Parts: sequence; structure tokens; C-alpha cells
Amino acid sequence: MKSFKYADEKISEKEILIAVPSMVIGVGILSMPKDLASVTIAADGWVPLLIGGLIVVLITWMVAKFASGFANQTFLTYASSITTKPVAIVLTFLFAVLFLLITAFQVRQIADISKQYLFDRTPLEVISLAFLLVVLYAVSGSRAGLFRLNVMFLPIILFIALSVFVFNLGWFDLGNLLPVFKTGFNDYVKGLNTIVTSYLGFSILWFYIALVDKPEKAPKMAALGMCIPVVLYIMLFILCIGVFGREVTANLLYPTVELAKVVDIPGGFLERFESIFFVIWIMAIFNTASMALDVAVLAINSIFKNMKKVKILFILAPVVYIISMFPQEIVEVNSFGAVMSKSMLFYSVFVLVLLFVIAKVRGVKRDE
Amino acid sequence: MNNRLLILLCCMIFLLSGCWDETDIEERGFVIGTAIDLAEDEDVKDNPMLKMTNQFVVPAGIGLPTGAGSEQEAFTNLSATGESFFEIIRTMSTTVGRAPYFEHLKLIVVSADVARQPDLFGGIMDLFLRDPEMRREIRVIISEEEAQSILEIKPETENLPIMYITNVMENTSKSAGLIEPVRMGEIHEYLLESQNYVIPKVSSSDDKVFFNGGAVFNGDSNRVVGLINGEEAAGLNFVKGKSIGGYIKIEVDNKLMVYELKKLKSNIEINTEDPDNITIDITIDTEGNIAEMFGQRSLLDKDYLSEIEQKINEKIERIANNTIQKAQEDIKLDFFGFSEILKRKHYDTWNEIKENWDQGDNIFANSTIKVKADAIVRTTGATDRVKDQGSE
Repeated sequence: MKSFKYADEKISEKEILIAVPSMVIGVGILSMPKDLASVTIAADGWVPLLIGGLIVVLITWMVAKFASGFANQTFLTYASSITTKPVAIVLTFLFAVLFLLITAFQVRQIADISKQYLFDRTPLEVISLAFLLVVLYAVSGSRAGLFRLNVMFLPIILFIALSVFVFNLGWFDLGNLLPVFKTGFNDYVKGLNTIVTSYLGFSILWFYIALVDKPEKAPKMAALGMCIPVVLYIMLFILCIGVFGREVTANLLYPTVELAKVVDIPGGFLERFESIFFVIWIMAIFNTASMALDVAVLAINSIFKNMKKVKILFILAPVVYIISMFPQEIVEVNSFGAVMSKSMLFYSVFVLVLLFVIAKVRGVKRDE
Repeated sequence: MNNRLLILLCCMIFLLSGCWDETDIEERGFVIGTAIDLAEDEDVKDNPMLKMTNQFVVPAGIGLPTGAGSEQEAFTNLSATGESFFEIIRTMSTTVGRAPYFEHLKLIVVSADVARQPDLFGGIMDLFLRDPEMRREIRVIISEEEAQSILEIKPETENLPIMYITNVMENTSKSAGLIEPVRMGEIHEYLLESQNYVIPKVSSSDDKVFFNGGAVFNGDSNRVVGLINGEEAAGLNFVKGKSIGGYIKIEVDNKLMVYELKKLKSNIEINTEDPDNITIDITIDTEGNIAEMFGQRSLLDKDYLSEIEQKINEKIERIANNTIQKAQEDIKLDFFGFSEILKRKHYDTWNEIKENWDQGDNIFANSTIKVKADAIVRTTGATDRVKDQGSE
């Protein structure tokens, strides 16, 4: 088989605007309202969502700003010029590992959720394998093609999220949002802690900024892109509280999926709205998983320059599959996700601080 | 090369054509209604034995709208007993050719006997909330008699009893004494929030169902602690501002007059300044028109209209006070949702008194509740007078 080659592997800054929310919106939102509602009172969870969101937007902007200072250089190149080559290789490799874990986590989560709601008797292993194969197919193709898929899917995803919102307004009970601001400070911090998983994904910028045509516009676009999930999350969270009330939201495993199940379009011609919601949401998770895997491949490819991309993929795919099958039950999957996303966040911030400080100390020039 | 590709493609047909979760629609037994009773031989085991009756749709019996053709009934009811519903459903699958399929379940009828058992109602609802096949729009009603008998009525207008019952239930807006149908999702909320709640009550006779009043549940033990009748339910609806489109019968000059409610709004203000004596002010604003009258006086008289409005107000206040009295003195439970308002608007006070609200010291029973109604008669219908005035 011949694979089709696009003219260039460059992406525009608008595609960064799309790629960031596509990466961030994934499985996190399906369970996020539950975790957040269980530590806050009434609808107060929007406060940590907003604060966490602003922090993440800021970090996104900083990462993009820093990376765009090294136009057309891969992470490995500029990291080695700032620190040393061996350190840079270790840093890159750790990123690759973390992104592989993200892929594995997404694959596992989507398999769990679709088994629960769609395929009752299909074994988990088969669902994950089928999903992973599709992801592999996407990643083995052109990188620019992946970005084009994002551009295609994101509007559909946002549209379906919006329709969930609109069709649920009929059940919305404003009284459920009261009382306001009764959550203690510690609980807000706990809330912040739980939403880290959902805001994950800006780390792709470390690697993708190198592909951007005009990197100087990228930071603004990346930060703008990050605002999309922040707004979406706050909307969906408040909707969950309004429709279910805090207690129920805190006890439903996937409140967002239940929201889609509640949708009852008048006229009865569309009774099973959640099936459409699922199809679309699997597209969102597909975007996340394929980009995470692609970044992992990109990172490893920058270490082993002579290896072919497809070959790396063939080595990584079984690893991802095995990791995704490793946790036994839902509690293990959740704690795996929590540990993975926190390490990703802290690692990204750590790398940012490390590179920034060393670059300042050693006076490495960034081309502004 | 091309040949090899062709062989590969042919092999893929075998791999890709399967569907793991395939179930033919003919193999599914669509359950549209469920009734839950206590089984008779309940003392055999430690856990209460439950009887579940499922109403299956028989597609062949639905037939054509003309009613011609099939003699077969459109439904069958199947019962099985056991300690857990999952067990019962599994047993049922082994005895019926079609495995019960619950995605189209519309209604659950729970017998009051079951609901009176301590701590059982929550357990009963568990499966219907936990199973992803269930939907949160399932309606729940309480039956005073055996729940199974509700599913066995043979309605004249519909093929399926469940469809008939749900249609009747949708007509709650026609009478003030009917409680809004309760959805499974709301029950989940009630179960989790330890708030008291009222579920509509149904009874049947001569192949007809009647909704009349409701069963009051204690939010902590989740069991029925009292029943309210139609008029008390009307009072509850007035306080909660929920009845849209009921009617009120009043007597003006010893003649009957019917006021049709078009709009109802209630405003509840709770004053918590003195936690020992909480005062609750309820204002009920109604809007409506004269639907029927047996008297002859002209209605197009401002004074006379205010007199009528005054009578309506008295009636609404009496109905509402009656229900409040029952709640405070008889059932001793706040099923109006005042606790929810306290929690939302007076969160700090609520935290102090929540242990003693309608249990312990029972602040609720000792609080002062004032009802004030404000009715407006918008129009008098198409005509002013229908009958001649002169006879008097």
C-alpha cells in the first residue's frame, strides 16, 4: 500500500487553536462533574473550574511562548542547546512515556464507558483493540492529516455538547444552584485537585509548536484554544448541577453521559439521543488518543532519527495496549488517570521552569 | 499483488461482518411496565421476598388501528418472586422465550405495602438506577392495593394498560388534586438528599385507574409514613405552586361557581431570625376565569368580582392550611420542601437546625406558617349571564 503524501508537514497557527481543545476535550469531562460536585456545595464547583482554567490558560500561553522562541526546532534540539544532549534525551523520553500513558488511559476509559452503555457483551479487550487500531491507522498517516481531522471534528463535538445543553434546559432547576459560595477554602483546593485530569493536554505544545508555520502567533492561539474547554466545562458542570442537583451529580459515575440520556426531544422522533452523543464523543476521544500517541511517536522519533515512524508505532502499539489493560477495576483506572495526569501537569511545569531558568542563566538566545 | 490484496479483503469480510452484541428485535421482550409487590411467603428468608410483575408488549396483539384482525391481547404480564430483582429478571429470562428488555420501561407501580417496609424502597429503586439500560424518565407511582392488579386492568381506549395509565397521568394538569408524576431521576435525588417527598397514589376499579392524592415518604427511612387525599394534595400543590390548570369550587350567594386556574405561583418566605419560632409566609398568586356558575348575577360588576375573588382566596387558604395542619400535627413531616428552601437561602441556619427540623425537637411542627392567597379573575368566559335574573 502506498500512503498519500501531503505537500508539507507544516501546520498553521489556526490548527493549533483547534488542536489544543481537541486534545483537552476527551474522557475527562464525562466524569469531571462527579468528582467536582462531591467536594463542593451546590454549584460552587465553577469557581475551581474557572480558577484552574485560568491557571492552565496561563501555563499554556507560557509553554507556547517559550517553545515558539525556537522556531522550527524540535523539543530535543532546543532542550539540548539549553541543557545538554543527555539531559534533553531523558526529558524527551519522559514526555514520550507520559503521552503513551495518556493514550493508554483514554483507550481504557472509552472501552469501559462504551462497554457499560453500548456493548454489553463485547469483551473489554476487543473494544480497546478495535479503538486502538483505528488510532494507530490515523497516527501512521500524515501528521497534517491528523490536524485536518481535528478541524473537521471539533465543530461537530462542540455542536453536540451545545445541543445537550439546549435540550436539557427544560429540566434545569435554578434552585439547585443555591446556596452560593458556602464551600470552604480547603474544599476549593480539593476541587482544583480533581479537575487537573480534565484540563490535561497543553503539553502537546512542546512538540507541535515546532511544526507551526508562523510560531510567533501560536501562543495567543494556543491560549485562546485552551479557553474553549474552560467555557465548555463550566457550562456542562452548571448544567449537571441544575438538572440533577449536587447530590445526584456526585453519585453518578458519568454525569455528562446521563445528561445525554435525559435529553427527550419533543415529538418523540429521537428518543435515544445518547447514542448520537456517544458516536460524537468517541470522535473527541479519538482525537485526544491519536494526538497523544502521535506526540509520543514524534518524541521518540526525535531521539532515534533513523527509525521509520511506522516501525516505532508497531513497537509502541502493543505497549499501549498492555498498559491500558493493566488496571483491573474502575477504582484502579481512576487512580491511574489521576496519578498520570498529575505527573503530566507537574512534569510540564517542571520542564518549563527548568528550561526557562537554565536558558536565562546560560544566556541561550531565543529568537523573538 | 492485486490477487493477494483481494484474498486479504475476502478474509476481512469474515472478520468485519460480526456483531458481538447482536440481539434480534424478535428476541427482545419489551417491558413497558413493572409492578412490585411483597410476595406472600415472606417469612421464609431473612430478606423480604419480593414479587415483580413485568408487562411485556406482544407486538402481534397491537394490530391495526382499525382494531380488525388479531384477537390476541397486546400484552402479557409475567410475575416471578425472589429476594433481588436482578435474580427475578434472570429467572424470568429462563422461563420466557424473550429476555426482558428494559430500555422502554415507562412506569413502575410499587405497592404501598412494600413502600411501608423500613429501608426497602431505596433498595428497590437501586436496580432501576444502577442498570445502564434503565432511563431516568421512568415514572414511579404507589398503589394502595396489589400493584400487580394495576397492570391487569383492561382499558377500553388503549391496547396497553401502561399506555393508558401514563396517558391518564399526563392529565394531572386538569385537576388541582393530582400530584405531578415523579421521575426516577427525582427519586434518585430524594433518596440521596434525605428530603421528604410525595409520590402519586393510584387505585383501580372497573378497569379504570384513579389518581388520588399521594404517599408521603420519610426522607431518612425512605418509607411511607402517611397518605394524603386529593384535597390535601391540592393544598400541597398550592403551597408548592405546582398545579397548573386545576379548578376550585366555591359557593357565592349559596350558588356553586367554578374557578378555573390558569396560572399559579407561590412565593415562600422563611424568616429564621428566631430559630425557636421560625415563621413561614406563603403567598399564593392565582390567575384564572369563571368556568361555570349556577347563579344568575351579572359578573361584570367590580364589587361582585372582588367578592368572588375573596371567596376563592378563602377557599385556597383553607385547602392549603388544611394540608399544612395535617403535615404539622398528623404526619409531623415537612413534605413541602421548606427544608430545601432553608438549605438554599438560609444555609447557615439550616446547618444548625437540620437535625431538629422535622425530627428530634421538630421545629417544623412548631413553626408558624401563614398562607395568603391572591386570586385574580381575568375573564368570565364567553358570556356574562346565561340565565335570566328575574326569577328572584
